[in-house]
Amino acid sequence: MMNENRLTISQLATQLKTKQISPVELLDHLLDRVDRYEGTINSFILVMREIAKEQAQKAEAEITSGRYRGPLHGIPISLKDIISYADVPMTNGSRVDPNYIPSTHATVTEKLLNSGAVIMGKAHLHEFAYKAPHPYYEWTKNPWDVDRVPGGSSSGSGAAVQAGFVLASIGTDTGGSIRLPASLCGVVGLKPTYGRVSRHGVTPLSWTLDHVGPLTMTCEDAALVLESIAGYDPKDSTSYSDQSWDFSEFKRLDDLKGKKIGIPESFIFGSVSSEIEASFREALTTLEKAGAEIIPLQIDGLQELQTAQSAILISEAYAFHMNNLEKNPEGYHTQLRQAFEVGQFYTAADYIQSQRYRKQMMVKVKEIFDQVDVIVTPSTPEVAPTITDYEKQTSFTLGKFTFFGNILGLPSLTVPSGFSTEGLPIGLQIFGAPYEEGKVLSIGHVFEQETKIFQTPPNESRWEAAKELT
Amino acid sequence: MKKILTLMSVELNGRTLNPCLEEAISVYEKEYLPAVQQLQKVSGEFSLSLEPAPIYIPEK
Repeated sequence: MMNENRLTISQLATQLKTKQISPVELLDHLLDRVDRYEGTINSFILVMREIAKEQAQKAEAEITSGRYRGPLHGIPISLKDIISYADVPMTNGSRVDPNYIPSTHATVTEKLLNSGAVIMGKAHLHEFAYKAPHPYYEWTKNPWDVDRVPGGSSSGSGAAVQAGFVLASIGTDTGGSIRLPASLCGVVGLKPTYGRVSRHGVTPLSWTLDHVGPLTMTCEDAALVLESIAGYDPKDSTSYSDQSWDFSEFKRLDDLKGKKIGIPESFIFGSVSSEIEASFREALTTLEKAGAEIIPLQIDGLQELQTAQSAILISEAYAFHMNNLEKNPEGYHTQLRQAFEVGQFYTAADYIQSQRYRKQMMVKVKEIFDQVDVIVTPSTPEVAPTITDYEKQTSFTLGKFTFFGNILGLPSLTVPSGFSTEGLPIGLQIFGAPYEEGKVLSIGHVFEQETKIFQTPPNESRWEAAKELT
Repeated sequence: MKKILTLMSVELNGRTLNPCLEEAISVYEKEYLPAVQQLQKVSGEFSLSLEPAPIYIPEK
């Protein structure tokens, strides 16, 4: 088992439960990989080596004595470094307050620990979950091509899962920050329904758009992690109290017979690269062959909805950062400062009209889910750009298809769907109606089993070569 | 417009002008304002009963 680098939680959970492997062995195996390759990939702000070892030893003792807690028991996971772990520094990927040490765990951290997970470290990220990494921490590298961006803002999460450093990572998503790195790194990323996972203890970017969710190797693994982290939390005023989520909502379907899949055609075609379009059409054929019915959709008003998302996000981010932008501006990278400063020019009316438009579109899209089970788009309009090209871009085009899930609060999943001619991953995005994570993950699972793309690893010898160059 | 936005920042928002902020004003004027004006046009057609959702939780 340990020679494989495409490890999944679902496989390992059985082996851990039956004591074929121990949590300590598993952690050591992953730490060996970190020691070997992290110098190239740069996916952690902090590897919590000693804490993780203690937790793995504790998990081993519990499992040995028959106190197995469930599928995350002994599973190494990283947390994006805007998610609190008590008494461990939290940088937010910034130099504004790099010595900040939270005194309590985030709710999501607490839940993972209760499930017996081993918290292996704090994952690298774009500064305050927006734009790009602070130069102090340098870029996380895309495991498929170390000259390319891994996507963000949960950059270290996507790269670490693909590099086989962790079995899952917890990211946050305000406009695509779980799904973009998952897609560009070729792993699964789930942004749950707004209110499904508590944000308590997570530094906000934009309160009404922020979500917390997992990045994993497979849809089944995402379902397992979601079971641990979902649930009502009185410490988060937006937490949803009426319904919990459990793993039984995830179905290992054999096919997609009877499933209706909506495609907003005019929103997609003509605005993506030719390789993304070809891959998307191939993905639709795969879904059809699995028994799904493809239904073309026309959703008007998406351009304005994107503007509303932008107005809400930047206004809220400005409100959060306003004091530091005035008093401690040098703590931010210049590019981020400029992006946040824009937020002060939206008027109160702009913000409120954006929230009204959001509500109008939610009603409209809810009606669409009376006709289809899920809506499918490419995850990104292009493959991972080079770091050099990304740094020259002034507008944010990668999030063209992901913002929709944030402003409407819909569960949204990215699943690997293919590779470009240059060998870069391409993702398929699946949106569901609110609280239908089970349906989204189950459909994603069928697609994943049809394509088996997750079984293809990146070429690790390139990481060695990159290390030698540096 | 740049003058208005500068006054808005300094006089209304209490900010200290600096090169980064001045650049942000230009970016807002060129890249964001046209999109906001489009949204303002659409919002002119909202029904009076349409309420915003300050704490937004999607309905089942």
